[in-house]
Amino acid sequence: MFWRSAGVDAGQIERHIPALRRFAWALLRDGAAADDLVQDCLERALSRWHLHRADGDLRAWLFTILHNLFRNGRRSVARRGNAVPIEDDAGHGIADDAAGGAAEGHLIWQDALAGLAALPEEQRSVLLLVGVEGFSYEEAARLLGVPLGTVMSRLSRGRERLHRLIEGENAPARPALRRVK
Amino acid sequence: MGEAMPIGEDDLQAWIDGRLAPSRMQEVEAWMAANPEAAGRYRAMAAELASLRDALRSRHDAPVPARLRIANLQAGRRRARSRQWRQVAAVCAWLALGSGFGWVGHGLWPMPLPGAAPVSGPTRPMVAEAIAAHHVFAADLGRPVEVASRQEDQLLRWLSNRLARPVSAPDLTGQGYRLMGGRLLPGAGGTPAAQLMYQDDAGARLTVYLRADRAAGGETAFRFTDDAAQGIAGFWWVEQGFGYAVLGQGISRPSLLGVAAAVQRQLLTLPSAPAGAPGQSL
Repeated sequence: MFWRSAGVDAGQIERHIPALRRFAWALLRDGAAADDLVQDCLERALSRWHLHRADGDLRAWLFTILHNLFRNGRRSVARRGNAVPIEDDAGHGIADDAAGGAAEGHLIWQDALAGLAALPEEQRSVLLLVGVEGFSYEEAARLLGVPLGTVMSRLSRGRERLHRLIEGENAPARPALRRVK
Repeated sequence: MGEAMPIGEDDLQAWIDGRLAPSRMQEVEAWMAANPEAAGRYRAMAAELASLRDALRSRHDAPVPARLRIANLQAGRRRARSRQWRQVAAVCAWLALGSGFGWVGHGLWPMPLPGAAPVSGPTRPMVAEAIAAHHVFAADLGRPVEVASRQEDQLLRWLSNRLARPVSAPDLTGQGYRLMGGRLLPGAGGTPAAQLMYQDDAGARLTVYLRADRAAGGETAFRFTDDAAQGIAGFWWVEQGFGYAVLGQGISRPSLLGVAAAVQRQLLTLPSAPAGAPGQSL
């Protein structure tokens, strides 16, 4: 048993927590469940710190752990207990609307988020890792444990689908281009 | 092959992501000029990606809740280990001594409190408010909190804005309590006050109450308060211009002390987020 998370550099890990929370939230669309997932991820990272290669990419390692936990459904959603649920996420428009500014822009955001939620999980993960979190195609492939070609086709299909969800079903289906690589 | 490779889907995805090799850029742009309809679609997809990034930015920029701070997670791991060992030690002692000496209680060992010994003493308006708020809301079965912990980010941003200081929710899982949520309350003279509510697995609730308190008396050590009429007891203290109270009903004094010490420790080690506008970035 490995008891001491020796040599953990808290600051080094904490730098990535905001991005991990964003990724988890985009996967789950629930703030508490997302933070549970991030907490599980961090706890696992601390308990397995000795497996982490000092020269490896810490960010990719953390995202891999989080995504695996998500996919294995090992997140303990129940941990938060029976907190009283209240209105949906937009309900208490506390401070975050202050910067919302242009109502129209906000509408498009909602569309993009709703469209994202409607994508199959595989496509959603790729869109987020590449498009939002800025991983390269190769990094995303390693992180997800799939071939590069799979990442590219999920990306292409996911974006096409998101586009049609946002534009409406009558947007013309496109003649798919051949993947030449 | 002197001839340029035909434009493929991967090229267009890379164009959306801004990852196209410069050498390929010109060819892709020429293709887009020749295929305006498809080009419009890829431009729209790039715009959708941008709005997705915008939509998720506030998730990235939101203050990180206390329970995700590495120091707290590490402390949780240490506590879990020491709990394990206390239990093992307790069982060993019990086995060694035999039943004649009875159960060597685990979990009954009070946490050491840094600083002065807690004493009962003269109270302050802040404490009376905290007791009244506990009395009213902790007993509420239907809607004990105004904003539930599933919206912890929003709750803490709200309270931080209104109290004009960073408010975090102390992680009390080590003491067996989970955050339920919280609310804003009017303190004396209209001072905004925050109440955070926690619950253990058995349903026992405790509240953490805080507000600015610059009344005479300055900083105080932990003081015990016991409101016999309401059956509400707890610890309170004043530190750096803020008053704090940790209250419960039917919770043992050592447990309350352990919770109060954890609250005080965690609220002191707050990250120095800019007070007043923690949620403004989008």
